Amino acid sequence: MTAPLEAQDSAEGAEPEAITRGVRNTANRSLRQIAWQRLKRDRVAMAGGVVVIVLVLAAVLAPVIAWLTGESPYQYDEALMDPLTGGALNDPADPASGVDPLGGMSLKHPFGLEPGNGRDMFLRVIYGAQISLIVAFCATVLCVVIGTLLGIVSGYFGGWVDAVISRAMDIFLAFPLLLFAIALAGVVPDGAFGLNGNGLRIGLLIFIIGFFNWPYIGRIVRGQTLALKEREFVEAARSLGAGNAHILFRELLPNLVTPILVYSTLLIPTNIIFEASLSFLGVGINPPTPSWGGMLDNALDYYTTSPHFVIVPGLAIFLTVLAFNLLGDGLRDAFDPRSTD
Amino acid sequence: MSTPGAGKAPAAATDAVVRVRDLTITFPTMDGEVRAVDGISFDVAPGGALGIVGESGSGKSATSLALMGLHRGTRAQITGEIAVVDTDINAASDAQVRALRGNDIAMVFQDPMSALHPQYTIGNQIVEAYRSHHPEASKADARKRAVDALDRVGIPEPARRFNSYPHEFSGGMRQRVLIAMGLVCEPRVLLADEPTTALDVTVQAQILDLLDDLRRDLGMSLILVSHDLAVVAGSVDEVLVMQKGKVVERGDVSDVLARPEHPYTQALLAAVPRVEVSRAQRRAQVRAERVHAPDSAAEDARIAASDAPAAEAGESLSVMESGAEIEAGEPLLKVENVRMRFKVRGGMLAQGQDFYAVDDVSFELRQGETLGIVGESGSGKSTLSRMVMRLLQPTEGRVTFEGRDITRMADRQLRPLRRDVQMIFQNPYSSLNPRITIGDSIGTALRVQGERNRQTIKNAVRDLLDRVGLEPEHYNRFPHAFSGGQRQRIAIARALILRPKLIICDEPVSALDVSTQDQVLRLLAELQDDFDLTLIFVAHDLAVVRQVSDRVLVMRKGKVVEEGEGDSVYENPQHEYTKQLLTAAPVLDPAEARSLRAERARARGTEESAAAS
Repeated sequence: MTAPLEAQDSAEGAEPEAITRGVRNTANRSLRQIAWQRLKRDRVAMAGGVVVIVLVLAAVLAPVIAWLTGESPYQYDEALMDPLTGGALNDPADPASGVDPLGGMSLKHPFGLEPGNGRDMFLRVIYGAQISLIVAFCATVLCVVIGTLLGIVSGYFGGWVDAVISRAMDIFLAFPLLLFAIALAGVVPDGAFGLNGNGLRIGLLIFIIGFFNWPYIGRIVRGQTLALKEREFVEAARSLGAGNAHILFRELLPNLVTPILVYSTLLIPTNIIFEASLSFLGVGINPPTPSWGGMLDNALDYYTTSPHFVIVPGLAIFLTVLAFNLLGDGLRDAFDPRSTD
Repeated sequence: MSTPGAGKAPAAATDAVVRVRDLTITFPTMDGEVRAVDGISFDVAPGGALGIVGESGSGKSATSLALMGLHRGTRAQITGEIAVVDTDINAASDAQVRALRGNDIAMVFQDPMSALHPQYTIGNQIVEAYRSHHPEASKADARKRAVDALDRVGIPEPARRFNSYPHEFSGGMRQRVLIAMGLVCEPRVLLADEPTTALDVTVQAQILDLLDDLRRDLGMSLILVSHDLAVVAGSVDEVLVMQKGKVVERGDVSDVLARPEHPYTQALLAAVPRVEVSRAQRRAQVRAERVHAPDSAAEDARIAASDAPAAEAGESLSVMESGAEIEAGEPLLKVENVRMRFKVRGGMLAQGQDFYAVDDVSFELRQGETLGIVGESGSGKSTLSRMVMRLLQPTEGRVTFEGRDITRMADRQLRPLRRDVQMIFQNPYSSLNPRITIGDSIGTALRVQGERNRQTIKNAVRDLLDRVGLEPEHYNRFPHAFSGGQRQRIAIARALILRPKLIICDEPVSALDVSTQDQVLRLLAELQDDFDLTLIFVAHDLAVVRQVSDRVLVMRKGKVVEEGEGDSVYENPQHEYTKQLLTAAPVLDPAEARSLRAERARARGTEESAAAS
């Protein structure tokens, strides 16, 4: 470098130095690292994150847990149940001992027994988490892919493309989704698309939830794209000779990752509830495979004598949804460049 | 250092309306404490005017916020003493500080576009400012005062404009409204933090004149905060130069400007672009300074040799050099009668009206030349540069580059043109993608132009980073890690990587501090020499344009009002508008600033009498 320039640089150095002395580390960190630092200090969000991680681990390791406890979610044990009401007996050895108000909770069965057939609730909740999470994650991915693609295209190109996509979003949002789902579940045969039984059911749930909820994320992406495309770096890319594909996926998409990530974490709990609702209505997974919504549905027959049958899956849904929401809120704050410190 | 305003301040320090002693402001951040202001002291006498000058990050804004007590409720830690009209800001209760704000000390902010509430009429907002301090005042009385204040700041037809909304005003008028809002309670101190930074040169002159008038007529004290010494030169008695939170120099404004003692003040003064320095002088100076650098030639040779696209670049460079000598050849760029029409829907203009942002502009540009385009906001200069760049397609007219008509070329055909014509944008904060590392940002051009070898791209980028004065090791950093000046260097590297023949610089330094401006301009001058670049330099700052341009185009409302050799336009302006621009440009000599102010006042006087007759 030439000498005069060096001299100037030392003078210019004054400017960044004044701001960044002691803050120098911030300058070297990427936005993602800064967000992680902020997130770490957000105790509520971290708690949500821990619950989410525990839940995912439990769902993934469900067979291992079953093997460790020696129980099975499908193992009937009607001898433990009161033949009249179906509730768990106070004393399994004495069929006349009456119903245990705690639903047979013990070290062996921490969440109690399922009324009527005596299956272990703990494992059924964990296996239910598998279904809930698979459906919610896959449906969210489907939403995000469709929504991002159509949203970014709609926002960037504008004009008739935008008009068509935006009207499509309106139509999808106006769709009577629940009724459609119930009707669809009635007409779909036992086997289709090379799938059968619960595989087909899961696929169907993912399709219904994912394919009809994309407009929410589509609108967010479209709005962000509208704002982003006015920024000078888009013009700069065009002036370098970049084509539309490059601008869409190399310039705009990296800037959309944060809102998409945040919205996805908030979309997952919505989808968990939706899956539970569909299962509750009998559209979801077929018995005997456990699902939270299905358990709640069955619990309607027993809630007077065995309240734990309602409370346990209800709490599972509640805690999962809450944890995801807290994590999502925390992520949004952490990634928000305007939030202080 | 000279004693602060010894001759001018009649009162002793105890009478000062603003008294600051040993002020320190510390902000706790994630990475430890940042001391924004470090032990500064000053007084402002009744009716006195103090200028606080410094670059961004020098602590000048933190200081002005502290005077208003606006650090309350934040985590800023303040020590020292701040007394405004005998109220100790640090000790006062919230209610006392609220009573003080607006009533005793009023603040005018930098950005008039966002400082007014868009949903209320301006009259409403001024009345509210008055009644919050005078709850007993009747509606009619408050209204009368608001109208008076609007009249005082030179809003025409104040009684009618009272009911207007902020969006109906231009930037300069909004700044006047904000000043009126500040004035309505007749404060003893007016604190203006960069009040003209967002404004055009002529409007800047008007606002500074207004502040000066008000101060003299109403006996207010003025604290003027700016990064530009030339802005405060004509408006204050005493000046405080801040660097990194400390006061490095203070004294009577003419003393400090004539005989700066601290090296930082000297550097700051040297960086102010002077409208009286011609292109030739400036070039000679920059070149002379380069020759003194021992290794510059070797450095240039190394860059030329090591560059990845060097084979090609070197080739085109030699072609360019031979081309530059043939002065009579075809112009590199020819713009003929271009117009750009925008449809204006509703709004202030009538329904569906056509609006010509650029109206019948023609010019030619030869290899190696620099054309300066000067104009205020709305003059169409940015639209014009985007048409030459073919980011916009002209409605009418023709743009010819190297003999090829590029006016109606499709995007795909334009791609080869992009190698030859590049652009540097105004705002380095939005022209760099925040989510892409700077290395990738610079390398993008090579990639979209078909270069596939990653190592080649990386080497080319690293060499250019070095050439524009940045660390090649910063390749993987994100833009937020850089200051404004450094970002503009990155943008320059991005424009250079394709080895273009023509670079269009759209206000490349207007978003930067004065000292950074100077460095970026020097860099551009050096690069122009090294790469034999032809430049179009668009700016609203006349001094900056003079220093870089061989020829100058003055634009107003889409039309060219004056065109000619740089020196002749500046030394012998023909058009009335050019003269106006020249008298409005801020100057460093306080005496000259006052005489220019008088000249502007005379010009306004004749205008008004002409309008009256």
